[in-house]
Amino acid sequence: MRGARLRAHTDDSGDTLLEVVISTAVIGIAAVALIGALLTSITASSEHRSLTVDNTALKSYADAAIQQIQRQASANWTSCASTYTVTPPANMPNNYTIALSSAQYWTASGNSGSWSGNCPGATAPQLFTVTVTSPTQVTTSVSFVIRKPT
Amino acid sequence: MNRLRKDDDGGGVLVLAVIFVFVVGAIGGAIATFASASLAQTTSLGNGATQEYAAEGAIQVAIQRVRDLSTLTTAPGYGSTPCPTTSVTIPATTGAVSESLTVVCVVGQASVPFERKIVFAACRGGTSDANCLTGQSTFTPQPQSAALVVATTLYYDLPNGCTTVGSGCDLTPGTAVDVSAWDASGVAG
Repeated sequence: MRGARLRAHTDDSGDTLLEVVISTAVIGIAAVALIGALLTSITASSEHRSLTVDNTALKSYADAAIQQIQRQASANWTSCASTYTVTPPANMPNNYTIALSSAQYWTASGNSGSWSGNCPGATAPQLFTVTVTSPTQVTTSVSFVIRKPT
Repeated sequence: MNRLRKDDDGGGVLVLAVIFVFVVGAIGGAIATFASASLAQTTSLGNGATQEYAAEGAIQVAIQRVRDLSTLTTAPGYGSTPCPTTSVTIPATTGAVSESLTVVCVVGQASVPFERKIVFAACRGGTSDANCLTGQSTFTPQPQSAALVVATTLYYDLPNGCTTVGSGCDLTPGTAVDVSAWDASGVAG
C-alpha cells in the first residue's frame, strides 16, 4: 500500500523544464506563423476588394461612355470630338476619382495605322482612356475605341 | 528505476507538438494559397477585361475601315474584293500593357439584298489569318481557336427606307452598319 502510493507519486512528477521550454517555443512559433498567415490573408482580402472595386468602377464607366457616345439611339458622337461629357452610371463607389482622357484619332496607313491627336477625317475612330483613382491613390485604366455610329 | 522511466508518458508531448505544428502549418499554408490564388484570379480578370476592350476597339477600327471602302470596286462583298485584314495597336495605359491585334474579316451570305453580313475576328498580333478566321473564298466565316473577340455585323448599302436601287435610292456601300452579335469567349480570365 505504501509502495503503491510512492510509485504513483513518482509517475506524476510532471514534465521537465526542458520539455516545457521546448513545448512553449514550438507553440509560440506555430502561433506566430498562424497569426502571420491570418494577417496576410486579411491584407490580401483588402487588396482583393480594392482591385475588384477598381475593375468594376472602370468597366461600368467605360461601358456607360461607349453606350452614350456610340450605341444609344441618339448617340453623342461628334466627328473629331476632343472629349465628351459622360454621365456616370448609378452606384459608382464613393471617393473614387474617374477621368476620361482627351481623344486620339486613328489614321490608317495601308493595313495598319496609328493613334495621334490629329484628326484625319470625319469618320476617324476615336480612342479614349478611362482612369480610376481609388481613395488609396491606386490608379487603374482601360482604353476603348468609339467609331461613327449607324 | 529505469523500467519506470521506460513505461511513463514522457515523450508524448513531442508527438503532440509535432502534430500541432503540422496542423497549424497546413492551415497557414492553405490560407496563404487561397489568398494568393484569389488575388491572381482578380488580376487575371482585370487583364482579361483590358484585352477584351482592346480587341473590341480593334474591331471597331476595322468595321469603320470596311465602311469607308464605299465604292463598288473597293467594298468587300462586291465583285472579287476580299475583306482586308487590319492591324491595330492599343497603346499602354496605367496598369495595362499595350495590345497588338490583328483583325480578320470575312464576308458571309446575307439574307437580304443590299445588305452584307461581315464577320470580324480579333486575334493577337502576328496570328495568321487562317488561325483567326477562315472562309474568305467560300463566304462562310468560321472563327478559329485564336480568335479573342468575334463580331457579326450587317452593312446596309441603301439609304434608310430604300429596298431597291433607283428612284433616289443609290447604292452606297456602308451607309450604315449594325453589330448584331459580339462573342468574347476567346478572352482569358
